[in-house]
Amino acid sequence: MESLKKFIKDVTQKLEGVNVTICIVCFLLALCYTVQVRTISISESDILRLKKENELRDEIEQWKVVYEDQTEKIKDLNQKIEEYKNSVAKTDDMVALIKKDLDESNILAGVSSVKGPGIMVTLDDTAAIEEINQLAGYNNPNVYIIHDTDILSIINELSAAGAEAFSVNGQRILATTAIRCVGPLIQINGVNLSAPYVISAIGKPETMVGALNLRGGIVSEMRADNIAVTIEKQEEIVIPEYTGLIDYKYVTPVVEVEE
Amino acid sequence: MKTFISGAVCVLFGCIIGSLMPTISYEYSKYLAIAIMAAFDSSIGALAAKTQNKYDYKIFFSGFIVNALIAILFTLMGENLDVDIYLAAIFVFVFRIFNNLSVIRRYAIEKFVEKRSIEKKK
Repeated sequence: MESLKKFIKDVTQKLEGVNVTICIVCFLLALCYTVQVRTISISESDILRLKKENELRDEIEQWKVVYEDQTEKIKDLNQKIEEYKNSVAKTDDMVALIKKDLDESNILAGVSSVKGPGIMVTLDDTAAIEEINQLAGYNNPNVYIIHDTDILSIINELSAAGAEAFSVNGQRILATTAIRCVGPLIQINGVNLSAPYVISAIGKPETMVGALNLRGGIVSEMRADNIAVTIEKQEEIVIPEYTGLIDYKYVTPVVEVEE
Repeated sequence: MKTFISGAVCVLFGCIIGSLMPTISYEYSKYLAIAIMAAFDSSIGALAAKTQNKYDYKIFFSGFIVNALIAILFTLMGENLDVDIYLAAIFVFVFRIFNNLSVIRRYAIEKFVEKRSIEKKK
């Protein structure tokens, strides 16, 4: 007990004048620093892995999908090449036949622009609006506005007269095209069009003009309804292709298997 | 001189014990790093205060501990808010360390020049 006391006294004497605060601070700082350095140096290699593991995994997944897609495509393309090779090997006549078939199909589908003799029918709202309003005693837009049915009936009439391709204000009319009213406008192929409506049709001009101008026909009816209808024969009319996307979701061709 | 030696001894002790201690996980090393920067800043600040005879061990020690803790808290808060607050903290610490170092340097140079002129007079 005595010796312990003496020892403590000795130590305290020796430590006289030593700044305890600085000692503690130095100790703590050195301790923390060492621990930190060791932590960093140990986990240096692990950090990258830990931090980026998820990202890398995601990336691998993505690339896998891309890879699969591409291999699928390569497979498809190889198959096509094979088919083409076969068809070339058969005869050039066959190729020409297919080409002709394709061209015809494109015209029918409306995905290639076409030209030929035809007529242009222009429908415009009547100039005599005021007169009509006065006569009726009230403003009735139905009287002088061109309806979807007007355009539809003209196209129908022209089809009957042997027209082969149509466009309205530059919008190609397809087999699946809808023509309908949207307020005061008419929507064709999802594009809103306004008067005057120019209907271009390729076919035999004389027949078409005759069909339209039939006495009691649609044009005379429209004129009676105060719609300004003008019909022009043209040597050559160009009808543009359909620029939208043709996407069949439900229709698939029925293939008859030869036995 | 005694202070210097005791400090060096303490640093050595700290290093030895630090290398014997288990390491902390990487997630927390960020907080420790910012605490170390805060502590370092406090230490340099204390040195600068000493040169201007403004040193007070209470202020120094409390600053040493509290600054480190607040820095850790800020880092935590930044983590929660998804703002890199610790960058601002580091900026402040390093800025202050440089400032205080320049104060110390000025003091040392002045002292040195004074000594030289006294010697010359002799």
